[in-house]
Amino acid sequence: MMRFLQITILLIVAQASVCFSQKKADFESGQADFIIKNAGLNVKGSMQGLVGNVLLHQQNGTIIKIEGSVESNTITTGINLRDTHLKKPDYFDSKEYPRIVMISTQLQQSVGKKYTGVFDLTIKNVTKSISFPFQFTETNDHRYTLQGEFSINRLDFGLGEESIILSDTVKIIVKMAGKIY
Amino acid sequence: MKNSSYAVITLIMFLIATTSFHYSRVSEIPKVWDIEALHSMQLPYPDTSLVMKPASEAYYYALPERIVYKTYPFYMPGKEPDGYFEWLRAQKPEVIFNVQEMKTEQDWITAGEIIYDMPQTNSLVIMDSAFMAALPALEKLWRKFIPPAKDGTIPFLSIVVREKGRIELGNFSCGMCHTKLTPDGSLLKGGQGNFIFSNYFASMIRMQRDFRKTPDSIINLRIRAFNRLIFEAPWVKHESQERLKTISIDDWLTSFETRTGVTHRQGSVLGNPVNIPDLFNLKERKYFDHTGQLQQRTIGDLMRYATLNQNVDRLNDYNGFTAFDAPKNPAKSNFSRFSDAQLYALAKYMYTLRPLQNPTVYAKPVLAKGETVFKEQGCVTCHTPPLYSNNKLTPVDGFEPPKNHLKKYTIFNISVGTDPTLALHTRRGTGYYKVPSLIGVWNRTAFMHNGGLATLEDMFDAKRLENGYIPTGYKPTWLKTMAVPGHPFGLELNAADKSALIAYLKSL
Repeated sequence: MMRFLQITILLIVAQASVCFSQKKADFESGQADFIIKNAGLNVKGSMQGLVGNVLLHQQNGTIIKIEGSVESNTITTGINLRDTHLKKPDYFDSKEYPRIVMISTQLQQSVGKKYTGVFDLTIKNVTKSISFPFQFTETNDHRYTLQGEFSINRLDFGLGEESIILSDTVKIIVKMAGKIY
Repeated sequence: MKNSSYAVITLIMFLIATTSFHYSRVSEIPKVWDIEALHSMQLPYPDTSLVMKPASEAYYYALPERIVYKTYPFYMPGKEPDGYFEWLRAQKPEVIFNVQEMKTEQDWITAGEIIYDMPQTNSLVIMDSAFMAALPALEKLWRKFIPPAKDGTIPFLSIVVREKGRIELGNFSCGMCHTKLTPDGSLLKGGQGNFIFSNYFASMIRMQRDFRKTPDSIINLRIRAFNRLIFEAPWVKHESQERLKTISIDDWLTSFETRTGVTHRQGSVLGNPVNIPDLFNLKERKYFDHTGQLQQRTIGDLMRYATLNQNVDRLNDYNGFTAFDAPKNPAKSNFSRFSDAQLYALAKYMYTLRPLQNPTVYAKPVLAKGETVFKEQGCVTCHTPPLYSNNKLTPVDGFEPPKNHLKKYTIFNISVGTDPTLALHTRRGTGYYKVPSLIGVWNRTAFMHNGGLATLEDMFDAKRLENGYIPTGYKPTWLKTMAVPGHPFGLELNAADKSALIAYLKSL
């Protein structure tokens, strides 16, 4: 019985030390911008209200995990009817699949505040692993920004169909900011 | 002897070659009235309880084939040469379409143009003494809306001699609506026509009423029969169907009249006519009609479309409703049809139709800027080069494409908010409009499905969305103002971008 208590106490302490060694910083703002070539010209668009958080190591401040998601029906491209179309089943099917989710599976700090991350990106219930570099910047007032960009093949996620004018490749730029308490 | 043997052998080989070429051409003519093909080419109606049955194969092929007689010019009354009608009455009938004479591809195309301009045998008007007496009265009406050619002829009409001593006014050819008389006097076949058929038809009623003093009771009966022929769709619950039941003769006449490039055709709505589409680059198009009602998969489908729209769709049965009382014995009726060979020639010819280039030349920097705006504004997504149409259907407001449609048809699944009447409340309804091609758009005078706008500039005028707008194109007589909704692209562009975009569009 005594031995059981010792083990339990040890586990609680260990658990607590794990918790105390991490800190979670929610995004206070975030957006995902994108660029895609249509008929040779860049079309720019954006999804607003990216939410999520960064899990940081308590002591050294390195990033342990990043989670983020955005509502696909926030998409804007500057043309209302196009935005409406993009929310339909041909593209994001926002009614059926309201959120786009990205969760890190592997993070590696390269130089200074630069990281390379591997993320599971889920759009329309299709999950693909993507890898891209990003920058994590902290300021003296404990604020941080996180910015990175990557490209996907929209057809991998069922976003539209093959087209002679619309590129398959979409460049995505994610920007998040928050405060570390 | 040896030389003459060679000559005989060569001649025999030539004859065999030409005969087999002819045979191969004739044998490759698709069977037009193929019930399975007729069904499968058609999109479903928005009201899925509606089942349309075309005439049976036996009935269709029992109808008399049209005989293609030589036609003669019809002049604006008073402009014909002296003694013209007497000369015509002295002419013998001459048949000018003979399958046996078709040897080359060009022969078929040339013959197809004759079919394109051939008046409908079902609708010839005997030019008897009573008709001749009415010509001056008709001229007074016609001069208001028919553009005569420089030589005084009306190229959209013709005179047919089917019997020596009898002349008939020919109308309702394909070219009557799909030919444009250009300012230089040439004819642009396949263009958005500038013969206002609706006004022409109304003029015939006016002539009967005002000149011949036909009683209103008779005129009324004729209008009701005509409504049944082209407008009625008893399964449709819409105000336009109700209006047909009570409309007066005067209201009907003024409502039926339209303007250049716009016509009330069978399967449209009184007060909501259609802009006349051009027929350019037809081979590349996947759908026919504004509503994409019929698909084009092969040349046979174009032939089917042509025969249907040259009266045979009158034989369709819509859940028991028919547009007219079909003759019980088709073989002995006056109701005729094109032969498959005639339709083949017609389709071959229609595939050759191309637009005119705009004589106005725009500065290259303006065009380059316009092209950039065209791409930036996303026009290019629907109006994709080289056809300047993505060949897709867009659903209208009030219609949600069923899931199986998304796989079966090419659908760009977003409504651009244009007036849905034609697509929802007519015999031609599908719930969709097809994306029109912009090639040759500079030469059009009616825009939007119902021709509510007269110029390309009006398309980009944001005021057209307001209820107080006075349409520059067609509007029903019972409305003083009317919004022309939908397709809201480019309305907010600055003046320079708008001007460049319009220049670019007019260069296509």
